[in-house]
Amino acid sequence: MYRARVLLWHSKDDRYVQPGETVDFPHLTPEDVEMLIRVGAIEPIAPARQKKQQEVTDDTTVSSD
Amino acid sequence: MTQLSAAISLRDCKVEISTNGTTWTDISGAASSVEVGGGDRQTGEVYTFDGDTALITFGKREPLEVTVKTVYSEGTSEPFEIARGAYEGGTAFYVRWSPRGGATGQARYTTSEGRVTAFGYPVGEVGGDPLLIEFTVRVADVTRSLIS
Repeated sequence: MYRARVLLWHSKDDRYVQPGETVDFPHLTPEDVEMLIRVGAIEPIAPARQKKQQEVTDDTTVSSD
Repeated sequence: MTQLSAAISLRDCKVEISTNGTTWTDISGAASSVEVGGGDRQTGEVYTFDGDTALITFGKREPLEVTVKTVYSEGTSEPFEIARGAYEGGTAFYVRWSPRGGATGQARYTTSEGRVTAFGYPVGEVGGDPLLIEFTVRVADVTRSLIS
């Protein structure tokens, strides 16, 4: 998931995405998404959540040993 | 400031029109120019006996007029007929354009709902140049967005 930093036109949903709104881009290539990040149009918010999930998984592994 | 390396021309501009703001017709193959006029912010001023300069106040932005010039053609789904229908019917009309072509990450400028307030019928003098017409859409504002 990503957070819009500017007003976007979401081509798949045919709607505007307001700055601050959380949005995903299943219709875009990773290169296109990377480019949107690079130009400051969006910022990723998913990695932090994935990292937290990874920590939980690691803890579970330790406990089961 | 370092000199920009990303300056562009309008060679790849994508222009679209719509009568409902949802379904768009790409007229890039017919349009030859887009211009925007108006939109000045209202101002007022008064001079007082004291002081040497004016007191200035600022008001609202005036409407914009988007003028599109296109090649004249007679197909029902081509720009002349679409704009003529909206002009004669006094119905909703929208214009949007992407200076760089409308790919992902590029800017798009979209008018709010407006009306075709000026419309050029196909007239002119004898000659070899393509016949062009233009129409003007009066709108409240233009919204910039990035295509994603």
